[in-house]
Amino acid sequence: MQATTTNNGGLLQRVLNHPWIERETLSFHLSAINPLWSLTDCRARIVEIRDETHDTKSFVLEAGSWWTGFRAGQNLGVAIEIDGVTHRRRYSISSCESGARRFTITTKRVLDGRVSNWMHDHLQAGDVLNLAPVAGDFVLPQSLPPALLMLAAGSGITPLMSQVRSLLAGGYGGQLRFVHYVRTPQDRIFGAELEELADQHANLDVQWCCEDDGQGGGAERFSPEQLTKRVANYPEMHTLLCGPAGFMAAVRDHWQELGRSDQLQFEYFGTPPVARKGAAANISLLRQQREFTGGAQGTLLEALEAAGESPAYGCRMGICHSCKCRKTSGQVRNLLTGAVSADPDQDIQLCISVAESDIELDY
Amino acid sequence: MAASRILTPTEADAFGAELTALREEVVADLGDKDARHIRGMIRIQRRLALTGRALLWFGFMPPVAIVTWPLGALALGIAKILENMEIGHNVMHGQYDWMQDPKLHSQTYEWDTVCDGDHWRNSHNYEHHTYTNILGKDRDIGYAVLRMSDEQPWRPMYLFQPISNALLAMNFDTGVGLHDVQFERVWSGDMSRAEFKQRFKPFVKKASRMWFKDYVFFPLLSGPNFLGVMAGNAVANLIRNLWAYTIIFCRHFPRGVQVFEYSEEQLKTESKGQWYARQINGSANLEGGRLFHIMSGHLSHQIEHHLFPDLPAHRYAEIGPRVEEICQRYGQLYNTGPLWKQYATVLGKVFKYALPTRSPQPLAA
Repeated sequence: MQATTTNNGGLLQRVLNHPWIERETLSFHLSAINPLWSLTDCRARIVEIRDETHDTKSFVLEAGSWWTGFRAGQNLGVAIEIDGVTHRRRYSISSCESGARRFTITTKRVLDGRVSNWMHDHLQAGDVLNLAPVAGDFVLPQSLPPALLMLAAGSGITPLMSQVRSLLAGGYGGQLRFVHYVRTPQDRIFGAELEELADQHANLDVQWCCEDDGQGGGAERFSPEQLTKRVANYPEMHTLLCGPAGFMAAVRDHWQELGRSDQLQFEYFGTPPVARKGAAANISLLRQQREFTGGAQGTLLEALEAAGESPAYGCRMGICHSCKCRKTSGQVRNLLTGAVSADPDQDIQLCISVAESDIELDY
Repeated sequence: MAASRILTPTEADAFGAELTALREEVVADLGDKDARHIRGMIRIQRRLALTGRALLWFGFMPPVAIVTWPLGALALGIAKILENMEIGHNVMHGQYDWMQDPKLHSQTYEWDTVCDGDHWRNSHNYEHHTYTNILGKDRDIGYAVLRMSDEQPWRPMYLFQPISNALLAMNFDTGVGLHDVQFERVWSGDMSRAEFKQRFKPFVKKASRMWFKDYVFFPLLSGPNFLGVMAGNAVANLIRNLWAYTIIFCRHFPRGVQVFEYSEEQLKTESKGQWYARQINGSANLEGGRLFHIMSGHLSHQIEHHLFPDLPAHRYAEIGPRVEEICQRYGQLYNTGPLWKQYATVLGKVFKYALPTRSPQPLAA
């Protein structure tokens, strides 16, 4: 298995990190020579774009020399600029773990999703993307168990696909059962490749469960009975799970009933925040490592102050931007403009922002 | 020039609503165009700076230097003007924060001048832009060294202000850098040693970095042409200082601009519309073409800038006529004129107020 290494401590690195070095200016002139040469950003060039299904595409990327690899199941931050505004999203890497700088992310068009649709419609081979470092603890167990069950639903297949590819490439000899829940047979992301892999590897078994198989076979959704028919001995297997929130909740509840929660690894993706207008929100402050309830009556600045914090502020009327703070998750509304910020990692002005959901601040 | 009339509270509200609507119109339209503008400015500025430094570097051969040295100093001077005024000042106001680009973020951007970014964010973005032209609240009135209005009590030191004005013009970057140290409170014994240290340290840190860059690092890099590069950098800084000083002194000092004597109570009850009116009556515009506006960081649209300090500045030109039209309807003076005319009235004030005008009255302690 390829471990993630970090590059630090070198003399060049120390010089570049010195506050007197104008990294951005240097980086600007370097990037003029080669866009991947940056001292400030992690960048990758799109090498190829592949259609996986009617609504899912794979983007094959080649990173610059800063790339330190990833572990199967981890995800990557991608910055996409749409009409001047940078949006940040995280996508699971779907390709096989390797030491190479080339890897693949796979994304599905989300209904009304601004970023995923833009990526599908506008990105082209040759474009250069800004990335955020690889992260995530949804990785294969350190010592591999003799049998593994993978449960994927929809585009939740992407991290699991990376794991299947890596396991087989690494010569895993145990039982590998793969179940993909999809809407129709046309939604089988990586369908052909999984079939091929199953042909080549006797220890891999792949099954698709369709909500609508196109032949009037009736909807097949997850339930303990349904899974028993597909994988009889599933309760004994170490399980990896990824899919939409509803599907994951059903599986997790069942594993809890079985008393096997310790054998279940899972990864959430794309859960939209729940708007709770007018109600008090749970506000967590990442750097202060504290959490409190507030913000029902007024702005986030007032909520923080009421909770005993002393955030920086100036005009308290949205003019001076002294109280600007990075919101890492949650939804807020700007009182001046009425604009709603729902995306993660956006900067907000505390003095004119009210919470519309639970909020996490980099404060 | 007819003075502005005082708006009734109801009028002020309607006036404020019209201006806020104008702001919202621009905010809704922000996008690619604005991103392209600021990135284009950064591209031009960085290439100009590189060209300037390269020309100064090549100036070690005497026959060539006659051409390259002045060109290099000029290019670097213009690059510094662009960075300080159209890029740094505007980015630090939060004009491009909506782009969510960490490189254009108001709270972390550090500009290419000896003034520490955090000092500036406090003294300029907050104090000056919130309490514009309120005596005792806005330290930009005369920058604590000049007397520019009747309302400021006269002191003997103002007799020398034609000289201090010239010195400030030539060393404008250092003046701005020291502004937030608040030396006047040191002289009056109003500041503790600890506070002075805390205020002085960021300036020393930032200034030594900037001076090291221009007067040690780049000269050393050019080896035998050490003195040539050092002098070229000094001239570039001087060009920037004189230009920045001229533009910036035309923001709030030209004839017709009001200074306000507000009580704490008045400040607390000031409505948004009244706040807008104060910003307009406390600011003056400069007329010119697109290049002039860019080179002045659009501070030439001081009125629009003070109404909407966090709108991308290159939009001020398009909303200017509409702001002027609203001002006309509400009887508010839209103070504008060409640079030489506006600056002449500023220079007039430097001389006029050097002498005691209104009966001198000590500031309430």
